[in-house]
Amino acid sequence: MEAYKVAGDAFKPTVTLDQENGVFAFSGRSIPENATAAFEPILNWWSEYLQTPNKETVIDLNFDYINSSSMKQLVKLFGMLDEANSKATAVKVMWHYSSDDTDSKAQASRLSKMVKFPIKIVADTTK
Amino acid sequence: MSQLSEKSFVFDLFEDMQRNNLNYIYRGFFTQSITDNIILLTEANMNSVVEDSKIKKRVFTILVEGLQNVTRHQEIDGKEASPNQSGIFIIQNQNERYYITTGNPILKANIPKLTRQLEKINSLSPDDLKKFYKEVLNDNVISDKGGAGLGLIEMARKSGNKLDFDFSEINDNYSYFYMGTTVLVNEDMVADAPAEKCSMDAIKAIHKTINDQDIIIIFNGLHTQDSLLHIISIMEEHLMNKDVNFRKKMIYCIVELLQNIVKHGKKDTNATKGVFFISNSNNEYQLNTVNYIPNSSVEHARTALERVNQMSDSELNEFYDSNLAKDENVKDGLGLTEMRLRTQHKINYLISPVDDKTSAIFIQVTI
Repeated sequence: MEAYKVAGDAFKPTVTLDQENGVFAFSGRSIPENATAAFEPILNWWSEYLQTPNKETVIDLNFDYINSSSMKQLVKLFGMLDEANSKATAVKVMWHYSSDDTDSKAQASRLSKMVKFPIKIVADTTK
Repeated sequence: MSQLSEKSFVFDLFEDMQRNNLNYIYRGFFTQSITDNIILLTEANMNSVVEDSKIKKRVFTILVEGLQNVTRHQEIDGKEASPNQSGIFIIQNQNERYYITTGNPILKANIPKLTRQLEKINSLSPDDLKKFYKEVLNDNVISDKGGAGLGLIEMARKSGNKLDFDFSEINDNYSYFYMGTTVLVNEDMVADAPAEKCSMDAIKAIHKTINDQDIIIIFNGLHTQDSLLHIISIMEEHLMNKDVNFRKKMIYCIVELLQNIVKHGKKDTNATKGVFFISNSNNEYQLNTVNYIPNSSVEHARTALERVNQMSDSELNEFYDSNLAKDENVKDGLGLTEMRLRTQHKINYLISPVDDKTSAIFIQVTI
């Protein structure tokens, strides 16, 4: 299926969703006022992808800031992934955070309690 | 709660900001990046009001010169001025005119010279002002702070109006210097039409309040994505020396609070009126919002705030998780819960009735 690529700005993250190359990545800020609208094309892409997914789906998340309404959309995405996980594809999320940003780490542990697929929390020192 | 009752000044401040159409106030140390963002913030705000690019340019010139004046003169005895002596920048947009006020401490000894300069500038016709500009430029008399009064002349030329100024004593050696510059949005307006601008006295009174309350920044007006972005940039710069966790907590709460205003505030035509300000006292920062809500929402707001304030940590976590998983995201208190969890402080609030339809709500988050 066609890759979804959007360059981020001060409000929305850079997103690369590329089934062919197995690249699924989000980075930057996600603080839009209307997160539902901002995430709609992304969630649509995922629901199509999950009909015929790759054997493995490794998602890199590297958020600088994410507002609460974006978190909600992310949880929605995680719900979709959780449902597909181990049936159609093996899902794994890599949660990157700047090593001194303990709040981001806490956010990841919170999310990992809500899903069955593994969320690996990776401390980056370069960020 | 006794402390909170002292906070009722916020409603007066809110009313003052509305009445005088004050858009934006920054008080503190001015760096290049802060002034850049003030300019961008003004631009974002101006784009929704002014179409004429010539007027925009005039406002910019005055902003740049005015802010550079503050940057140059914000030191006292070679040191950064103490908080109640630091620079100030105020922008007001009212009745087709922008009114820009800058303020900074100056040595009392320099008052006569500065007064003479300003009085001379104010006495000149536009043509004479142009000649004077060239004269000063050629004379090349540079003051020890790098200026030659050129900036002031340039501001007067772009403004087409007299420069207002005033002094107020700080101590034996220093006074505070205020300068106000007008730009008319509509050139056909008579420049000397009775000014409904904020008087220097009103500016000084507001300055006193924000000094007393240790307020760093006030933003009043249309809360849009663009303005949010510039507030974030200014605060990131302001907090440069703080650790990343603290900075992020701040930014998270700023985002949630401002979006909260947009989501719940009473809409006036299409915009949500509200004031956002940041204060810094007792080694803590307070993020504050004041906005109108319809009386019909007062109970809902009170309930939501009391609920998050009374919950224990584990209850908050549970509430947050269950809310995240809920489908609809209207008025769910997710933002409030997030702020409570992140700051580990109760959320202060006050609600004050305005009339039979509207109340004003003040929300304060401490970090």
